[in-house]
Amino acid sequence: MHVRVDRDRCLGSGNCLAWASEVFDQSDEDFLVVVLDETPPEERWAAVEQAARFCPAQAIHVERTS
Amino acid sequence: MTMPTTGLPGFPMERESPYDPPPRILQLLREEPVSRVTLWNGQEAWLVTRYDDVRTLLTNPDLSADVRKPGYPKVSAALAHFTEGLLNHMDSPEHDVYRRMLAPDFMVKRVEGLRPDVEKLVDDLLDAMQTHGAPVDLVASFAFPIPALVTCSILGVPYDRKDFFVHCAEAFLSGTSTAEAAAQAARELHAYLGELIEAKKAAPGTDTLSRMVTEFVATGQLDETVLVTLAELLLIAGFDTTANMIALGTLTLLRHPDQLEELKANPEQWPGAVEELLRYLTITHRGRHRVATADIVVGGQLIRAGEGVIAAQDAANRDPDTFPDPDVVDIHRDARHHLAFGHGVHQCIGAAVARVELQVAYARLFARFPGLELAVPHDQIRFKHQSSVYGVAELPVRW
Repeated sequence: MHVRVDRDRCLGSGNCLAWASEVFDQSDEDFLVVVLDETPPEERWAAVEQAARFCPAQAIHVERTS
Repeated sequence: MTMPTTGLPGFPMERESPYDPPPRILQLLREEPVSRVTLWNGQEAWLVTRYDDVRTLLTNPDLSADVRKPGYPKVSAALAHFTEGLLNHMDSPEHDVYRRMLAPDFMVKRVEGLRPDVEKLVDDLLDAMQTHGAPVDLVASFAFPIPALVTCSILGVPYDRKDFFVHCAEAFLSGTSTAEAAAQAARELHAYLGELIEAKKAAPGTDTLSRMVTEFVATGQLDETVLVTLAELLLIAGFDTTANMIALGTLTLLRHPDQLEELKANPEQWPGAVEELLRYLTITHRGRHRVATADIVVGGQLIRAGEGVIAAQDAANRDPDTFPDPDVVDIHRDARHHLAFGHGVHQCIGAAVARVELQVAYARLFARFPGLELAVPHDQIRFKHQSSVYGVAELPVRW
């Protein structure tokens, strides 16, 4: 899995942290999303997909590479 | 609800059970998930009820939240007069500029820092209830003061003006005042927020208003008059909603004593229970309102540019395809993806604050008064069917 974020769309609502705090964080400087792990292990895929699905700004893009 | 001449169902619809969405809207969810309704003024709009449709609709960039646009569904007479360009009625990209200015103070990490303050003010209110003695009206003595006081912290209202602020907020927003008294309170609050901004310019603190003044007003990126409207919106959006969730959520818990006992014994389960109560009650029961700015397809139905759309969160949160046995309160279900806070760029900015307030309020209330119960028969409780935010008018309790 490859995780990409669009920081131009991010509004800093922080929902992604609630789903997958090992993969996403909010910057201490501009408060927008940062990806901690662009290729998360398989056990986190479901949570990362939830984070992408429920991002209010639709700023998270996930590609599954099997 | 009177049947309009067009034969379309009217919106809003009437509830039968005070805890469930109207039967008619749940029937539409099952049978005609994207359907036409008529509003109080004869205007027609689309009503979208399925969870997946509501969720995708609210992130669709071809929908506008601007009440001034023709076709915007004005679901009440009050909204028809409400044409101000507040943040919740702005579209991207204008909206996003202000939203990003406010966002840092509403980050989960920052909001967790508010938790000790919330615990303190909740404990103070519980002390006052204990001193007063049973029965008390939980709405007036607990549910309303909590969000009002938390808003004081966020805006940096000084201690000696808190009583004034809480009084004005209640008169303005609790729906218990006359229209004239509410309008007078709104004017007083507006004037006070202007004064408060002046005070923050002279002596900034660590609150949101101070940060907005020093980072954005002083640098010319934000107009002071806009900052007043942002502060008002934070108050309006966070006050009635949180207060009603505290009172109606407490009542709901009292009606599910087995689950309540489990929560008292296992307080670490409160955050999950809060999500389930938010889903089950969905007190924002008038839906989110948009107008299409281009032709779009929702759930297979073509919606044309210029047509109004109501995204019904209350129905969506009872969609059995997303929440099995949706009409059952179950504190063990994972309800985190409910739509009670809306979705998309207008999703409630204060959701993390509300979660802290609700977690602390319920947990501390039932820890202090484990024997809390209704002080009147259930059939004497007045539910606020006509309010834009659902709840109970009073909640007399004893312990």
